[in-house]
Amino acid sequence: MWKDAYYGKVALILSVAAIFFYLIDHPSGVPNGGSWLGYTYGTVGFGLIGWLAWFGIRRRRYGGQGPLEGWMSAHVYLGIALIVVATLHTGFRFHWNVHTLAYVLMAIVIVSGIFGAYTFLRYPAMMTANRAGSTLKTMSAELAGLDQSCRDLALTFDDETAALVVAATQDFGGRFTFREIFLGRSVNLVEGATGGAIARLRDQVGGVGNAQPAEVLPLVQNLTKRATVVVKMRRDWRYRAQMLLWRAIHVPLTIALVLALTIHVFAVFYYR
Amino acid sequence: MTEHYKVAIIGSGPGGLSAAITAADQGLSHVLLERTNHLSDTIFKYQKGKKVMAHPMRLPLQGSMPFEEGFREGILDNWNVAAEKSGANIRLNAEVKKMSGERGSFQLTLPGNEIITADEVILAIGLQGNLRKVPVPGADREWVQYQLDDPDAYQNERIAIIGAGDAGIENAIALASHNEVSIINRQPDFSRAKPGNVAAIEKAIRSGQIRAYANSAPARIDDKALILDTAEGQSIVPVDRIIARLGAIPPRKFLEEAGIKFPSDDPAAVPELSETYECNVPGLYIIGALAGFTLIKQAVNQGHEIIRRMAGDPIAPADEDLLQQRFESAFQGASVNAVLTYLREHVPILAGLTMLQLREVMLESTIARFRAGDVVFKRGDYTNSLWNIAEGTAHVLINEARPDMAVRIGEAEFFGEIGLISGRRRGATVVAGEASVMVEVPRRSMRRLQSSIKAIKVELDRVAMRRIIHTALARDRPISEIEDIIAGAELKRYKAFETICAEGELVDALYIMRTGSATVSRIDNGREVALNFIAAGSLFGERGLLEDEAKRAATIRATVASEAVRIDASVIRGSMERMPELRGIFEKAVQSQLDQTVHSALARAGQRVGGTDGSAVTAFLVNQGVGEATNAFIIDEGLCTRCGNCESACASTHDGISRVNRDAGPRAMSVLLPVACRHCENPHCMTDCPVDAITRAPTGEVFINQNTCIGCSNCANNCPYGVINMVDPTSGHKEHQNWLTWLLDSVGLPTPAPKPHDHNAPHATKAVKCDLCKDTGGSPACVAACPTGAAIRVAPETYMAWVRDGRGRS
Repeated sequence: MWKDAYYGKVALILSVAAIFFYLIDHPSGVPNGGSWLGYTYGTVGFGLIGWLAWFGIRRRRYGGQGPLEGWMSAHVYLGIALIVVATLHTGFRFHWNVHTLAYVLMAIVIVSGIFGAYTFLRYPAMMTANRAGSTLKTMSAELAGLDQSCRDLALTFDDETAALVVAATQDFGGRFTFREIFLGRSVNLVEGATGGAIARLRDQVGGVGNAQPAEVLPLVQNLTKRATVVVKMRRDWRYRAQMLLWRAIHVPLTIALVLALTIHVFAVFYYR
Repeated sequence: MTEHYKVAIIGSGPGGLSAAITAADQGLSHVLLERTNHLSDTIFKYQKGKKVMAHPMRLPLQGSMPFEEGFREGILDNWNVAAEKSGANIRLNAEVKKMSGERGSFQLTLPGNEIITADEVILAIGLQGNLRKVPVPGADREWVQYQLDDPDAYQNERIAIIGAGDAGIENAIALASHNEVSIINRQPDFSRAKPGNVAAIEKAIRSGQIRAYANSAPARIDDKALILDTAEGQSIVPVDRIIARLGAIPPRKFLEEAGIKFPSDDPAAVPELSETYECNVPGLYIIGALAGFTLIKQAVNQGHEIIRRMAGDPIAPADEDLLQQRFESAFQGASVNAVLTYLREHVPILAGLTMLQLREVMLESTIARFRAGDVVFKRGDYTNSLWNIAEGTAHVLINEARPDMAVRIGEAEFFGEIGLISGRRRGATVVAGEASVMVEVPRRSMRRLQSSIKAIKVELDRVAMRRIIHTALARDRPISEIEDIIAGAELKRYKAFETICAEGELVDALYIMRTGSATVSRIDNGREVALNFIAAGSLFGERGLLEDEAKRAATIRATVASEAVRIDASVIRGSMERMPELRGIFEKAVQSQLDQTVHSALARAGQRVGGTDGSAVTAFLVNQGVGEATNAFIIDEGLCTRCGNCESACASTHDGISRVNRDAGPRAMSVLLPVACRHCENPHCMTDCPVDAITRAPTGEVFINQNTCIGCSNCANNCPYGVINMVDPTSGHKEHQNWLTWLLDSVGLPTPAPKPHDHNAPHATKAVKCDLCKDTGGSPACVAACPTGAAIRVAPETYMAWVRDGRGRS
């Protein structure tokens, strides 16, 4: 926590003050962005959006600019406060126009940002626990080793079983689905080629077929082990994807927001 | 009729050849005698294509013999051409069997009992003509060899390397990829070699690539077998080839028969020489490796210098101008010799040096004048040179609040020895007491002096021990009051992870950490729990010292090779009456240790069930050698979003080349120690830099000067943590700054590859490592660029606190 959530307090004061003035204000007519208070909200919101967007540049300016951790903290808290300020700026009046478009874009950017903050809080520790001291590189090396030993062991079995085992060593659980990435449904390899190969091998233990049962147990163990490694690796990718993908919304929509906002400000002053 | 010459030069290496060429230039009657059938046998026998360095860089080359940095072949070609062109009188296959006489009447016996006479003789035979042989029966077999030209010439052989010095280790590693290699080591470990080589050989042994026989010596060499005497009896190593790398020593018998005296019986000792390289036999000059000068340039200059003097056309030594420049600020206009004489009279540790040694030391040292009150160095500075007072006084402010209690150090004494020994920050500020002249000798030179002159090491250790005890126990009293404590103290050395005192033992002594560091731990529910960390300069083991029959409450163990001053409990108890304040020191220390214990118990209580605890993290860090770090890069993987901003920031602030590798590096629990410089207390990288390109800034950063680095990679090999990379400094690419690639990168899409570096362009590799961003004026970029605070750079004292706060576990 950066300096005991200093910017969280700043954001809270800003939001409370904004709501307080909104409640005591009695503008002539309906509340709107054109009143004295409305302009104030608009100016503050405009400044905030500019400053928040600047973070994308600041993040990659290195050297002699103080810790990024503070900026990150301020970015999150003030970004959330922006919802309050901007909503009050609208006076709760929405229409099908560029002004509301700017608001909607902003809302999506903020929500995606909140999701991002959530992933940053949640996944690093889960990722570390999942990796358990290993790295993706060592996991893939481990997987390659297990696959090789599975294929070697499969040579002692009949062709059909061997083919199933080889197919199982190429089973990585298929494409990533939305469900898996965002809802955390792990793939179940036992339902696919791996499961098929294991079931076939289990039959062999019963004495059916002509291979020695002695090879069955290590092969089943290795297939199971590689399945757990695959699941582990997919989980790692999933965490990483979650920490990355929200930015595919956050960043482009920020640019769209800045454009819409420019048009909004220009329109307001040009057509007033 | 015997031939007679003004001067006979023996040996055609850099020194002898330079002398012969100069003699030919000067028209001096001379002969150059070479044992083999080619010039310069030592360099001739270098591994093919070996790069030959020309350091010290700043030393000018004298005479007309060409020499600059290059490859073995080119250098030999240049020398052959130069020898031919000069018309020097060279006789190959002319080994001098016997030498006698002195100035005016030297007699040299050549093969076939031919006799040559000469007025003067220059002996430039080096050492490599006299390799140490394996002293056992059977060593004359043709497959027992003493050098390795080309490791690739041997494939699929069983090869035993005898000798575990640097040459033996390097040969073993070079051969191991294509052969079955064993290394025979008389010692239990490889401590004789450079740290880089030690790390490499230990790794190769662990991985089974090389087989090691420790505590073993050859007993006999049979057909295809080497018989070893080991600690467990005889053992047989089947071999196809034996390569013995036992070093080279002066051919003592030959030299002593010629009347040359040696200062000691040590086979590696070199003869004592005058300022003009003349030994105890008048008219006999010794230069180059045989005289202890191992660098080619030195030998070339020496050969030239001697002949010029003989020809009646003397020139100043090659380093004269450099020394003049160094002395200029303190002794304007004085001659070099006058200053050197002054130094010998005023600085005792320099008095025992020969003029030649003194010149070498002063090339690296500084003479400075101070006015009264000038600061020499500040408390907390990271300098580690030794200061000697030639004139005046210095005041050591061991307690800054009490300047009146400053320790006065007078003329002919030295100070700064604790920083020199421990490699840690200066413990006190020192100011000049009056107008003073002081000589600052850098750590490198001091180390060399200590190893070549025993008396200097003994004196340094003696004084350092007195002062370390004084500072720790009685800083407010004159040192004369604690002579009894000093007399009862002894210096103890510990290996890494060796126990200094164990839980449950009787409390029989007090310790002061001199170099290295240690951990304090206790057994708790059958598990070892680390409680505290002891840095150099701290007092420890004092708990219970005040009571009789007290037992140690904790185990104290060295984290790296360390030294501690041990003072027996009886000595301390005896002084307690006289010095009541000692009790205060111990009581305070006991209290803080109790706090420590409570603190860590609380930390443990706060942990989740089944979770790992701080002491495991501490143990991990200590095992990874963080104990010798002053500033280690640590990432808490419970917070790290793997965004890679730390690496990008590093690359962007350092010409596109990152000095941190986040993927590599050991991890435990959620602590990652990325491969990045730790700025060690006594940096391994600095021990062997031929051009002194690695320095420690007063603020602690260890950095490499890219302008003077010659890319020899000694530092990279010496670093046990692999943090130094040899790269072409121009090969880095800047972070893309155009908005499109920036945008693509921001959303996680692949960006177009940057323009590839042209590998054919002329380039030189240089050593590159973390410099803590000392030139950017801010904190290290890696830490500043971390958005979540996962990346930190800390000193060991801080990381222990950090771990106690519950970081590093998730």
